[in-house]
Amino acid sequence: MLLSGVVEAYGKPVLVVASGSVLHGFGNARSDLDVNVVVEGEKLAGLTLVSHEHGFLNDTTYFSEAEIETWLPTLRDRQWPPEGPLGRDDWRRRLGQIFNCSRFGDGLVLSAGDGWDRWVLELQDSWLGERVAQWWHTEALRWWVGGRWLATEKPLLGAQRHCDAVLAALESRAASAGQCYFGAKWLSEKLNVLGDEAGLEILDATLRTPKTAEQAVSYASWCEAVLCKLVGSLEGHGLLAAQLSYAPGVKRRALAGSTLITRWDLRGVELRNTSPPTVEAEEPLWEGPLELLPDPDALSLFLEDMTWLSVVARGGVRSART
Amino acid sequence: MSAVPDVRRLIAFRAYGAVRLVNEVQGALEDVEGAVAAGQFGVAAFQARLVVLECLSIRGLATEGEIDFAPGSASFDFFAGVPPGEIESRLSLAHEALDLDRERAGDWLARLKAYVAETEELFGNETALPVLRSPEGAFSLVALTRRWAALLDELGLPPPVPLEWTWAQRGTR
Repeated sequence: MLLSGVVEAYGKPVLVVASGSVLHGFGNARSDLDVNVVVEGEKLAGLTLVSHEHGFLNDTTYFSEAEIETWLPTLRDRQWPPEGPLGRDDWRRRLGQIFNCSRFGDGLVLSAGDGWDRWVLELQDSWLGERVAQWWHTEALRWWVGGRWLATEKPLLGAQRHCDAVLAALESRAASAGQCYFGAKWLSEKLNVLGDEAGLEILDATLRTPKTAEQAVSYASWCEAVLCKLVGSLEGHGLLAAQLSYAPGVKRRALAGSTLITRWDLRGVELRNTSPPTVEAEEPLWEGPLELLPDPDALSLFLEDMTWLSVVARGGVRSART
Repeated sequence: MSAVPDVRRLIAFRAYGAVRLVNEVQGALEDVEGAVAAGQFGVAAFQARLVVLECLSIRGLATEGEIDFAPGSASFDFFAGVPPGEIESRLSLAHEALDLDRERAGDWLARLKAYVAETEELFGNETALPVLRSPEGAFSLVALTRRWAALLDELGLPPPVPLEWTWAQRGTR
């Protein structure tokens, strides 16, 4: 039935894999079923096609062989996070690779041409689960750093980042225990399957985010303590660093005695008596230990959402200010 | 008649707000509906948080909010430009999901859906926004994006759904 919905408009299908929460026992009546199709050739596929033909939502996504050939060796063999400049597109690319490989690896193979069955078998090896757990572990640290940096100036937003950090840490814990399905919204169901009562209690308390700035202080302290237990302290991750780079849409203009940094020319922040790097600079705006607060200008740019925060492998602490 | 003190902000609110609602809020709300019907209240609470945060961010677009909704951004401010009282009341609405049972779930879900509907009404559209997870949904989103493209370009603002996001998310180099 599902195979009948696969078209050859993008090329001859060589691998078809069904995936989705329903196959993992989490889904409900509103869940969709995803069909992932690899087609011959190098032509990139278009949008995911949506169908209601069989009475349920069916998303069919097409990939070309050339498009996915690097995914497996990249995920398996390259460390995450890497050293050096790591921007938003790099982060998204890795997310896309891990998300899609998870779909192929833990899905149901409907048809597989020459060699593609082995490709799927390789994705079913334990290393992919380790990469999923590693992704969430790194994300927990990244959100945690963001939460700390926001806590004083924007306590409610900082609390949401602390919340994201604990959720990511619980995802990592679930993946390490064998629940590698990537859909974050199913976290409670994954913990239920694992019988992780302690994890469910943490999840419930974490989602009770503060509603006022006053409540945010104790909430942040609680999250910090939970995170220390779940992923270890920020100080203990000495091989990693936090890194800031400019976000898309940022422009830098020199004014008399100050620098105006704007995004889309809709919002801006004025920095006095300083000269932050140009937007075109290849070096990050700032890089330093996870537990360290950036210099005041870099922090201002982060607080005003002019930057992208990454966690990278530490290649020497530096500030790229010019 | 109403005076428009900042044309770019008005357009940003209507264009990026509409696309954000179709692209982000609708799916999360459908997840909540499915989870409530199945008694998966943990899933409902997880997604209700996102529904509320995203709706707040849409409301803030009219004044201070960032137009580039970037999942994964540690500094994206859902609360920018939103009055503290509204933040408090809407986060309370999301929190209610954590204490749901089958008896109370229907009323709570109706209030969550009403909040999303009120947010959509702020755009002042004569017709309802398209539903992404419908047979014609993806094409409707493209049509919605195209409807705003020329005006956004004229005002020096980026497309509401950046192409690179689509490709990069797929893991493509």
